[in-house]
Amino acid sequence: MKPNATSNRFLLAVSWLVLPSGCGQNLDVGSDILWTSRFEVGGNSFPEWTPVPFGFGSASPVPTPNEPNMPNTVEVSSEQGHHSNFAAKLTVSGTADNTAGIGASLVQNGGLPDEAYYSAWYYLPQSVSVGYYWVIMKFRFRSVPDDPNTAGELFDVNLTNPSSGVMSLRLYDHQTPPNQPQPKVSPKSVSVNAWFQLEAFYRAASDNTGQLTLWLDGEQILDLPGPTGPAGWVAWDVVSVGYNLTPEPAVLYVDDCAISRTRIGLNGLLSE
Amino acid sequence: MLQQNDSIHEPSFGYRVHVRVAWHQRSCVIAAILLALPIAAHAADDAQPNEPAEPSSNETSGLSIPGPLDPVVGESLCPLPDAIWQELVTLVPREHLISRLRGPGTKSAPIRVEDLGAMFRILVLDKVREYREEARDCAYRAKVAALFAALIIDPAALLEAGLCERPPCSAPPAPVPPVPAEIKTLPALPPRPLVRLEIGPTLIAGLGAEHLTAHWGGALRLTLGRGRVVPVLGVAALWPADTRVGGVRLRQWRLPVDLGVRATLWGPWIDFYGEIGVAFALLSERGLDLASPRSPTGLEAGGRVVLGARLARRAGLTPFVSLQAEFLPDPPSVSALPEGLAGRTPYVWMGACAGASWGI
Repeated sequence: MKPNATSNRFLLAVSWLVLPSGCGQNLDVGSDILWTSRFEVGGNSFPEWTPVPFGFGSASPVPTPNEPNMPNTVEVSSEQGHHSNFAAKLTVSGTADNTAGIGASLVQNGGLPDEAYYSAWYYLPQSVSVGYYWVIMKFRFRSVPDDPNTAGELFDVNLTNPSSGVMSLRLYDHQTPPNQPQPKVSPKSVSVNAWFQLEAFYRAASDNTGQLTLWLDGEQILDLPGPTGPAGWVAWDVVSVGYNLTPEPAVLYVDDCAISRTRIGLNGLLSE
Repeated sequence: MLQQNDSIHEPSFGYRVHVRVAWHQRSCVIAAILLALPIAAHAADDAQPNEPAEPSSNETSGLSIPGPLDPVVGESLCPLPDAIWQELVTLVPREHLISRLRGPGTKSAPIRVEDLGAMFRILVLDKVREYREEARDCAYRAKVAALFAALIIDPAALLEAGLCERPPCSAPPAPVPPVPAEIKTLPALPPRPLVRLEIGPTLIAGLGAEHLTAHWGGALRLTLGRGRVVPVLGVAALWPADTRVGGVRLRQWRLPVDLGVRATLWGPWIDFYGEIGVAFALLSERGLDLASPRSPTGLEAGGRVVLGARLARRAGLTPFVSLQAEFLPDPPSVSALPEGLAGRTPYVWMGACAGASWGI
């Protein structure tokens, strides 16, 4: 056999052996996801969430005169799931007789970066008439990061009814004086009987570098620069806290909660 | 001994030899013998079958060379054919000349001279020799041509004649012999190197991705074989470079290896070559600015072509330059969370290399 023929055959053999292994490889170079909760594991123990009072899976069973055994509950349910089998089911009975703070909450209590993107998917099985408020996402702060007694309310993202059968979002800024208007949120409807994504960018800063931005289904509905809470401690809650909701109980499903250093968006992946 | 018989008629151009050989002529004899002895011996061997067993009576007793042709012909002005003949008959006995030059099998004019300006060519019995003599000393040329002819026709006679006519002979200063202008057999060239190592800095840039990536480094290539087409193996060590795929900043590192064949077009000054083969590369990507970076390593595979040139030297060090292109039909993809698939690494890598090529 001639040397050239030998070389050619050798090259061909090497090509056949090695070329397939070099095709279509995917290189996973890492993640900007800081935290996720997809409710696929752990059941009702909610291991990803902070075990604090009024924290993970906390519910406030409040007996009412008409339904003394109606609880507010947080549980993992297979009734709905966003691209998965399970979701968290938050059930609240918010009547006019109930008081604020009643609801179901999933809490990330501290330990978060001063700035990050916060995303959660929600599912409303039916339109709910909101008599006073229905908070579904919260940001809280501490004046002194290590002192729980300095905690305070900051921003509440609420579901509201601009008109009958239509639901949208509004923001309640606890730091806005009562005699001043609340920040305006673009009037974008929230899907009913379908999953919708609420994503927020929050930068904790006492000066004008602070920022809160909201996206509903990928569309920006609020951009609020300016002082927020002091840096060093941030709490983020995915909640269902209502007051005067009709019908009762009001059910809200939550899935694919994530905190990320980069925008997650509608098509963001939380796992490989 | 070199004196000629007066009774013998010279050819038509007529020359009666009764001049003693000068010291200069003797010097030429020495030099010519030294230069032409191997040729003469070879020529004598070649001419042996053509040599007649016995000269004819005509040739031995006649006064002129029979036949229609002159013994020395040619359009040469320097030296003139007559001058050569005049010198020749002083070196070789006439009967020997006649018997050799008119022997059976001898074709046309046995001695031909051509004036080539700074050179002249002498052809004797199918043996040819060219001499460079830029001064155009025609007498000297004639002597040299005659000596060459004598050595071809009858070297033994020349040796018998001796180098000294009347002892004691003093050794004359050796003249500078004419320089043979044409060497009929080329000197043996050293063989081409069996192994060739090439090393040099290289710059390789990735094309096809949204962000141009350039890697500096060093390349080492090895060829094995002396032929025009030889196998070639190459490897490069490249510095990491920062790049971006999709929205993900990356630190990229490559270790390319290739295997192929090289075809060389040898030239008098520059050797050009081309290569074709398969190329592989270990590709490592590290996510920058990510909360949880990882450093996966993948394999690239594709084809590779190279065009290069180097100064033509058979061995030792010589500079080279080359251009290369690697084509990857299915390069690795890069993904990161939460973005997902960020994009692909380059489909084409172009590079250049310059350095030293060492033939062993």
